[in-house]
Amino acid sequence: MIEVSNLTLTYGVATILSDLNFTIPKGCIMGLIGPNGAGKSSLIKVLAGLVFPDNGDIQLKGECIEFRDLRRITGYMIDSPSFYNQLSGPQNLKLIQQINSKAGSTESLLELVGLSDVGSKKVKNYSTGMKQRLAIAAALIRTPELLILDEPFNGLDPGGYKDLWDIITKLNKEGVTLIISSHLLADLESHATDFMLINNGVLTMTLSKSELDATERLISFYFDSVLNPEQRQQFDEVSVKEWGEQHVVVLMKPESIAVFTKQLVDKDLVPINIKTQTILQQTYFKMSR
Amino acid sequence: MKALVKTEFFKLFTSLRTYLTFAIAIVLMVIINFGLYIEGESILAFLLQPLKEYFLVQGNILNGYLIAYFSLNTLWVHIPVLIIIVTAYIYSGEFENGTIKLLLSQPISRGRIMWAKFMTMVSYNLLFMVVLALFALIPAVMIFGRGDIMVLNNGVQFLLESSFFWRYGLAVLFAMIAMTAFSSLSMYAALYFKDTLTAILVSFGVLILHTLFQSFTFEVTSTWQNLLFSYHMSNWQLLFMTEVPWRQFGLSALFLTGFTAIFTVLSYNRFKRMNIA
Repeated sequence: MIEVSNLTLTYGVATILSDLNFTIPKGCIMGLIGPNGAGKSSLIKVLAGLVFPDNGDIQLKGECIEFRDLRRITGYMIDSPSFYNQLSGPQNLKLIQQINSKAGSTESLLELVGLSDVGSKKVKNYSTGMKQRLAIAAALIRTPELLILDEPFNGLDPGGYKDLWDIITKLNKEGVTLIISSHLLADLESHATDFMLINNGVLTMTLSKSELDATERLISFYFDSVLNPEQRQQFDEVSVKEWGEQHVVVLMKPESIAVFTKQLVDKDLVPINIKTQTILQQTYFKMSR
Repeated sequence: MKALVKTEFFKLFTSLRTYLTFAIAIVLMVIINFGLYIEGESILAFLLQPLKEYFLVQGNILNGYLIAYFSLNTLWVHIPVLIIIVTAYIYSGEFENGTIKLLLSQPISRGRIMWAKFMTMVSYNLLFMVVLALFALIPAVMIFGRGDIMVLNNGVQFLLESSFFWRYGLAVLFAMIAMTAFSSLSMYAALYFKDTLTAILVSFGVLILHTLFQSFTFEVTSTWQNLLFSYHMSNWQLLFMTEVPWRQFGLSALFLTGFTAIFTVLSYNRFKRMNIA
């Protein structure tokens, strides 16, 4: 759907994004991952036409366009959402609708994001979570083909968090392509279909969900006592990455985890806790250090 | 474009500060009228004392028309400040509230956004000046009545009552042009600093500096006068001369329009190329 090549962005002497090349397939949920300051928000701002890159090309459905032209088909939620505080949520949506020369009711959008009962309460009195929800509604006003959400889960309570994932899944099923930037790696891994890992403005890794699922994971087995040599022998057939007194870290394919754990249990070596780390998580945590 | 201007108007007229500026202007008018109602006669008697030695002054000299002229003359510093509190905020408010990201991520060209804001700014200036002119005139006429006007403006000027309305109307129009020029400066400052208070301070600083230079009477500085914003801004008073120096008046209007054009082009270029980080 979207193909970006040689995207470079600098602010003064600082290189924020360095020669990024990536593709956003139609209908995907692209998880944009990276530590703070990696360049995720800057990339989103380039895609939103807020920041002009020094270099780079973008193709939409095979046609070369300007980065700012992507706004025609895209809805955005850009970092901490801001609205006209003196207006109510519905008034803000009406205003955005008017700017886009769109007509019709915003009721369904407010209902979708769970804000149908806010009435005339001014946005300045909204909680962070309510603003996040309103931002989602605002991003959907133009019924976008592509929805870009920058840290959409910030400030959401567990209910709001689940609701938002439900909305994202629903929209994706309806054909909307999504790019979601978030620090919630585990959640992204279970919902996203594709992943992009950025660090220091460089695209470090791109992979699909199927590739992620097929990649070996780091599995940490925790035990309630120090392992004796006999117990340690149970790990001879797997690739051990780290030996601890009461834990062992091994590298294995996802499909082998259950089988291997059963083997341990059968030998009376019952782990009290098991933690898994995907290749994405491993790379992310290495970057964050 | 129409929809965009409409939204800018909606934002402007749902902001408390817009109404506050109108309210302050009206309160100032009330205070001036009240003050002149109490002390006007004695002030005028004092001012006319030298004249009375040579002229026989008859009729209602302290009339509503004179008060309206006096009000506008008194507020030449207050009005620009009140106006730029709103006009600078039209631009910098979007940065201060973070709504600039919301606005610019919509599929509308920055040029159109800029023009919508500019048109809103000019409309506000026009509305403000009209409201001010009406509140300066109507209560004054109701309290002090009507009559011929005698103003101290580059000497004593005697103006017939019948000529007041076209002079006053043109003065308001000229003031609107002057205020738009000053607003354009605040617009550029707002886009440069992205902060309303700084934009107001910088714009007001420019006005003060120009006024200061204007007050210099050295031979060297006399040639600068024509380049001073404040010099042209105060030239609405030329309309209250018995023989209006139309050329000078027209040149001042042209200078202020040029000033507006320059700062609008500068602002447009800045806004169009600005990175919203």
